[in-house]
Amino acid sequence: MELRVNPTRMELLRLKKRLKVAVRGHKLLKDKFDELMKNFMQLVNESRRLRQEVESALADSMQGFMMARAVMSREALEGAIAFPKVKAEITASVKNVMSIQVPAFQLVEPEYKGGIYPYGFAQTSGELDQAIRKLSDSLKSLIELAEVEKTVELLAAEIERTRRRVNALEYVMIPQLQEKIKFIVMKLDENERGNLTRLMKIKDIVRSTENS
Amino acid sequence: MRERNYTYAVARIRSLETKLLDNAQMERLANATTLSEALAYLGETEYGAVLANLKNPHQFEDALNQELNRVIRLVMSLSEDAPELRAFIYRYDIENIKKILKSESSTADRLSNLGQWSPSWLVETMAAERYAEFPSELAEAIIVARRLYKENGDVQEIDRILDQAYFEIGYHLLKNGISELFFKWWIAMIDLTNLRTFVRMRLIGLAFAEYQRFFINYGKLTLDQFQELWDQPDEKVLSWLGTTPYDNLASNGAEVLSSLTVLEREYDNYLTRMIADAKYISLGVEPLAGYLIAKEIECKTLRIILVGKVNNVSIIKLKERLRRAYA
Amino acid sequence: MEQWGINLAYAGIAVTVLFAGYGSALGVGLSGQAAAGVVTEDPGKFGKSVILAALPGTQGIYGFVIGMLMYMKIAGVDQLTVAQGLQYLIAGLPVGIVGWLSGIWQGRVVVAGMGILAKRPEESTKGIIYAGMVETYAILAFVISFFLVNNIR
Repeated sequence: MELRVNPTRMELLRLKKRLKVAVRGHKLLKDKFDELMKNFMQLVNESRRLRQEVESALADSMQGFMMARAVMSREALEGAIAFPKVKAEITASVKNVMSIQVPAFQLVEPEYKGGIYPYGFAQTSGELDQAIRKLSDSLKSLIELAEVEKTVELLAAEIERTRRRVNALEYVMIPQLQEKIKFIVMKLDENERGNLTRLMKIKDIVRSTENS
Repeated sequence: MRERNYTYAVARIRSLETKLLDNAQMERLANATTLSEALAYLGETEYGAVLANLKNPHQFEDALNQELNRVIRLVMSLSEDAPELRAFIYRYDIENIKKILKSESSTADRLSNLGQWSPSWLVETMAAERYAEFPSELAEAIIVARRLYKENGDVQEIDRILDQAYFEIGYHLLKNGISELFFKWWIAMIDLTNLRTFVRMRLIGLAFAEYQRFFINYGKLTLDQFQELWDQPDEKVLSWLGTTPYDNLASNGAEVLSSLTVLEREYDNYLTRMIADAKYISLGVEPLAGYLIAKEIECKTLRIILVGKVNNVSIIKLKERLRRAYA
Repeated sequence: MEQWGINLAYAGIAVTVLFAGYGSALGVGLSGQAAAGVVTEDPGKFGKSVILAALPGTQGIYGFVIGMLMYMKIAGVDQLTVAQGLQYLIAGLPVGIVGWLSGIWQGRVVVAGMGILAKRPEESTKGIIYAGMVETYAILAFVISFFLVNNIR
């Protein structure tokens, strides 16, 4: 690789300063990366757990719905659950995890006046109650899961970016700077030696003319 | 001598009753491994006609509805629109009315066509608020339900008011009707519905005050009895149940109070067993209704089996839900 | 006054045929409706249903036979006393009234029998037996009426 660099002392000083910054930055990024990784693993485990929980709850609920669907006619079931009785509210805000902006959801518990069931009890099947209850219970975990999964996603992107930076510093920037410094140092040394030789030569020439 | 009018009808129904599926056939259906196997077997029965023009096996629901519709129209025309039978069919109308009330903009195509009134007529009448065209009790209920819904936006109110109206209308229709069996049957249905609501609300964990709102009057079991039992453990309720006319249910043990699946199966079975007495009445409107109810429960059982087959529900779970056949 | 005897005898014939015929017509009407119901769903049962449906028709025939018998006896006689006329009237009553009631009730039994035919065609003869039990009393009445008519002199 051809190095385009002015082999000057000024440049050398500048490069050395940059190298110092780069190494320092590398170390910091590396630390950040490790920390992110640690967080990430935790979150991944958390999200896996939540997902399993939610999935089994939803599967249960779906099974319940299916049985309710079997016991009630299509029209009756549609009529029973077409319109919700309670409204759930979610407030979304932004949270800062390791200087990453992640979403934070807050479920506002609705008022359960007379239960969550949007239908009368006389003409509907009890199988529906269980399905609706399970669905309603899974709402909290579901929202938590949404939050955690999005965080994991954002974190993964951040980790990716950090790793690229760390790698760039470690394998490109720092070696390059070192190369450049080495080159300048050698160039300067070379100059120095050239200068010295030249001086010695001149000294010789001067001495021989003095002698003759 | 109104009963003489049903001679032809009853004899015809007797013939039709032979085509109802019996318990063994239901078992066999439940044991089928796949949906297509079950449908193929069902095709050999009375359902062959409606299943024949089924394009997609998953549309069996339409076929069942078609069959039920055919039976309802047949029974209604055979009985020359007996008011007693109308009580049984209002259920579908009330379901439709609930739906229209809830959505305000319901179109006729999502409604059930099994009722007394056609869906499009219902939508039109409801939109124009021509409530006078309904029986007065129903009209009143619709107005109250609509007002309550507007006031607090609680869809449950619609169901509550209309369900109560349904039982009330049936009660009055059958009280003045010619069949004592129907009247008793209706009261049993009210009692069992109250009992089911009782069990459901206890399982959900609601207060008695809530139950009071959903209680349906005219039953033999009174609200006071339920109030006393509200905080009692299941065993107490069970032993009380043994002293009521519904002691049959208690013979299933505590499961009937903890598992809604069992309770609902027994609910249907009790009513089937009761209306099956119609088989011993040689002249009258009872055999017609008996057949109608038998067919409704048969369709329900078939739906349970077929939906179960689509979703690969285990045979044990299916059998737990099979209803007793009328035949 | 001598006309009263013959009038009463005519009344006897009328009562016999009328009541028995009315009962049979009602009975056959009932059973015919039921038979039509069964045959609507299962035309193959027509043959068996005919036997059942025809059973309540016999009362009318008994009434007719007694009526004919009375007519034959009166036809050759010019004069009947009031007592004789009354005897004819009374002799007609058993088959008239029993035929009337048993015709209706037999019709109802036949309707129930149609239920057997609909559900278990192989057992339908039992329905015929039940209906036949009602027939017994129509026959008993017929026999008594028969003797009574024969005994009138």
